Amino acid sequence: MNMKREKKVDVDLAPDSKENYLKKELYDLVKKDSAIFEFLQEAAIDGLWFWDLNIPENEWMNSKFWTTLGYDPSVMPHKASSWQDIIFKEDLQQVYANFSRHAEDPSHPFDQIVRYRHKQGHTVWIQCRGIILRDDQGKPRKMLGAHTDITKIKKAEEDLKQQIDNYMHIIEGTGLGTWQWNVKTGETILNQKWAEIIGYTLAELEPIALDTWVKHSTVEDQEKSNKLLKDHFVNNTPFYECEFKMKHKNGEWIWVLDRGKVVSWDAEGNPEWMVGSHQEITKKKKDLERNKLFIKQTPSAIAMFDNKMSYLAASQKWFEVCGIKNTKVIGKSQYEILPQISKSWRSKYQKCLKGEVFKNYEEQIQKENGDIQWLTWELQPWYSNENKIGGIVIHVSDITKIKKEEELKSLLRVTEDQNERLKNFAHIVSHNLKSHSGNFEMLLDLYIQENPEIENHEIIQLFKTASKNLSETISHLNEVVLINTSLDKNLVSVGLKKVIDEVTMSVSAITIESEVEVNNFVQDDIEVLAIPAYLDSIVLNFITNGIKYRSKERKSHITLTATKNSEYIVLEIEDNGLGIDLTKYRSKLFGMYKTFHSNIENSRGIGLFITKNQVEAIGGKIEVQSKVNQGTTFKIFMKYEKN
Amino acid sequence: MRRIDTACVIDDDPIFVYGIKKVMKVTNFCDRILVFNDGQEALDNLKEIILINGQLPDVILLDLNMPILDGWQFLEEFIKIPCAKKIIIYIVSSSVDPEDVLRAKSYERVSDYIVKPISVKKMKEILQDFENTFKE
Repeated sequence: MNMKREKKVDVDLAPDSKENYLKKELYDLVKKDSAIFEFLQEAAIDGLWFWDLNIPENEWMNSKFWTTLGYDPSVMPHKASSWQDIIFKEDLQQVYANFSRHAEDPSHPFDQIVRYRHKQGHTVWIQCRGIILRDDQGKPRKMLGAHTDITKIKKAEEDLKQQIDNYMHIIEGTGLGTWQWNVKTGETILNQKWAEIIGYTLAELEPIALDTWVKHSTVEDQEKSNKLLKDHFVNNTPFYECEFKMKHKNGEWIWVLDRGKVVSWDAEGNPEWMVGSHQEITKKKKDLERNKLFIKQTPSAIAMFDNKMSYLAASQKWFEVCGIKNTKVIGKSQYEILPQISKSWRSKYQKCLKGEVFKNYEEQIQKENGDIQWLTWELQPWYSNENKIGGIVIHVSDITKIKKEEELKSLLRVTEDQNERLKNFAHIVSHNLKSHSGNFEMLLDLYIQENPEIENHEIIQLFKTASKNLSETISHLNEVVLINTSLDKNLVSVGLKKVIDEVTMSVSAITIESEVEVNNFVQDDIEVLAIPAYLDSIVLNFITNGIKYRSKERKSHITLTATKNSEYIVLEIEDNGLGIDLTKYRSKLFGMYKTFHSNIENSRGIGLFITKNQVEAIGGKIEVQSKVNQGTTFKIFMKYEKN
Repeated sequence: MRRIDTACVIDDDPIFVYGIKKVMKVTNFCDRILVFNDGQEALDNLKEIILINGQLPDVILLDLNMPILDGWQFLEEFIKIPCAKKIIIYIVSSSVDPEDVLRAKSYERVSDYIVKPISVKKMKEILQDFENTFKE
């Protein structure tokens, strides 16, 4: 029996002569006075038994033996069989084994932990020790045993084991990599999971050192981490926490949340051992990155503020609409970013932070450069998970374009109305005025028929001219009205060269007489989209104009060429005639009844007006260049058929 | 050669009616002139003439812009009436709108489209045209 470990007084130990006198006295007392033994067995031991090995069914148990197990000692018989039913059967094996070995060899201790079923059902852990008392021949006679209730210790031990198991499960379950690092020596211990996070086994990473981490991280992250570690060491932050990237075996970068804490300090107060964990947060990080991108690239102006009006997020559009040039605003206050912001806005922010919502569908704002900007905006508080106002979200749309379009549309409506009225007016001119002027003409004609002698009367002559002019004017008006009411209708592809040739032919009498050379250099294959009658009229007008306004000081020519660009066929009609002073007349050139050469007969000032209308009616336009007394070049842009 | 016996003028403009009567007289266009001031009046009277088997006009000069029943409406109604006599119809209007001209052409019964004002010269041409039509 290993008695040296025992701190309790053992009654059977023979006193040493060199013992402390108090010890000796106590031993003597025990021998003489049974009350002392009585006290010891009740106070210091959780059960005492004395077993007769010759008559094995006889066993004496003290009261504490039974009370420890929840039984009433007065009803329990002093028989070995009385505890047989409440001891755990599986523990008996150990008891028997130890008994037989102790019986053979007294130096082998009879000492084991056994479990009993308490009367109330729970387990009682008992440390059971005993010695065999032998006769002079060394034959076992009796056996003395003592019980110590170690249930509490056992339970604490169990709990601790359970806790460790739990922690192990948690570490495994959460996929936490763990590390231990001796700050002073650099010794580093990692777990399997730490290696697995970056795609390795622990063995692959051998030898493990601080360098193992360094090799798999970036220099910037190392600096960041060092700074945070220092914070923890020097400023004694509760723990160290850092997010960084680590290079996975597959070559990709993953994100890790690293946390740790110093657990031991040396005598000088320097950190010694530090423990911590690695948690992979790549997904969270990517989600966050995506959310950031989402906000940044959202095609509308949105910003999110905390309850102190500091920026949490803002979209690119927000910076554009608000005219913010420095886009590093996160964490900065709106008042710092836009110091010029008005009082009314400040008060809106404050009210919104208290839960009010503001909306404005149209607000006109004058920008720094004087431009007018139309905005629609919305201020809303946002709520945290605890349903508290966490800050505000502002959404602004620049509706300037829409507003402008609206304005344009309403302008278009007005124009359409006006156009409609103009058409009606033109219709009246065409039908009513025309019939009146027709009547005039007819009556005058009849009057002269009936009274031939007045035909040469001056007033009658003037009357005739006036009547003819009136009819002519009305017929011009009519032409214009008709052009404008047949816009873009019935366009057909027409060979340009042929049209010019035909027109030239039809006016050949005049060209020969006025000695004007018409050069048609337009290629055969050029075709334009036009109403044939208009195209004839357009070409005719420019050629007759060229003849009419030729210079008599030189040999006159009119040259026609054509080029094709991506949108138009450009017909250039160049003459070397009188030219037009464009600085004076450009704005009036294509007006009605505008003439610029007083000495030219038949200059009615209607040709260019009608021509321009006709060109526009077939989707084209006219440009003009001219120098007085050098000549004029008209460029007529006409659409063409694209495959 | 056939001579125009009766000409019918359907027009609401008294000045024009006065003028055309004069021109017809000057050109010795016809013997008799029927004048109606709108399409409805013309239709009613012409129907009546057909009913009593009276003297129908040889030529109708039809204006387009008229109250009550305009020239087009008159045409639509008139061509529905079965009639043995071939009546030559001219549209005589101030309108130079190509759409009107095209529409006039779409009626088989319409011989020509004449733009006002009408002159002695023009009237002579019509007369010539009529005579050519009935030349055997």
